[in-house]
Amino acid sequence: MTSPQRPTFLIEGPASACILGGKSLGWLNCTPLSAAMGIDRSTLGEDRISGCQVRDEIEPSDVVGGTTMSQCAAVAERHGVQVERHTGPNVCTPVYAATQLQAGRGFILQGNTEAIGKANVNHAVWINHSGGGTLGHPTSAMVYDPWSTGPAVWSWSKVLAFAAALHPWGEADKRRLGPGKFYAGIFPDTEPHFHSRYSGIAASPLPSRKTATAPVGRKVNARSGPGTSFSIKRMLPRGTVFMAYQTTRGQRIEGSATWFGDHDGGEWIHSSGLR
Amino acid sequence: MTDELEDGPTLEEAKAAAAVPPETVPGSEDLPEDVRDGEAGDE
Repeated sequence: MTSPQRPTFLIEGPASACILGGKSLGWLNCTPLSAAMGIDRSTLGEDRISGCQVRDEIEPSDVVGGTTMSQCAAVAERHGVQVERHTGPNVCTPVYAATQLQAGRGFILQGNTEAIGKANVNHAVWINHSGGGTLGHPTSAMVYDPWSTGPAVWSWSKVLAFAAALHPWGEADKRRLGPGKFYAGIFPDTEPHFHSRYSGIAASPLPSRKTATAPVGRKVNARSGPGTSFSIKRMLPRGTVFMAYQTTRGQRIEGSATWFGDHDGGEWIHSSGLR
Repeated sequence: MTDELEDGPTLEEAKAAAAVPPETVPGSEDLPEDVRDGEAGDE
């Protein structure tokens, strides 16, 4: 089984990384960067924009200081990506957010970096997927923190501490959000997913576990496309498992035009070669 | 792509659980709607 869709990591800074209205916003864009990664993930990489572009698309224009979940969620929604917002009185529980995450939905999480060894800075990260544990209680998460060098595994305890450290009334106010609440923007479910090629549509079930049915001593061809004019990528002995994520109508062979494709659409096998 | 994280609940189990709508969290009534993020920087 493939792992969840991942966005391209977007790094925060330097200040000149984003100049809008004459203002250097490169260190003030964690939420726009997280939203850009969310849009990337939610569109399976079809819509990749920069954090600066998200910032630029905020309406009305805001080039002063940091941004809010609402501002960035609105930009995502104009890109066709709906965001389930949990802020203010509508905060959600960590268990709810974790369950959504385990079900295939990434989210933007607001917190404060004093809980993770940095200064008192309200901050936002993209939580892409989790691992381990039980429903609502994972043991770890893959976190795309723009104020870092790349995606990293955080223990779920660290995720909880980051969220609880948020200063809802501003960094100068000592009050913290505390445990049991998340300021989160939850993005759409993308799992399971596949990357359609050659007009491939989702296999049912998704994915479908199939095995190669070549006669004894022979092998089934896995080609780069749905037809014999495409190159052979590998040859599967009888009984080899092939996980089919998509189907398409390709070259007709022995009365059938159905071909099965893998997750990325890079390998295709005619229906006569699988069962 | 292999994943560094260990296996957890199945996708099917999680999707069934995720269908339950969120509940209001007690004590959240006075929380501000919008929290603006702060300024990061070189470390």
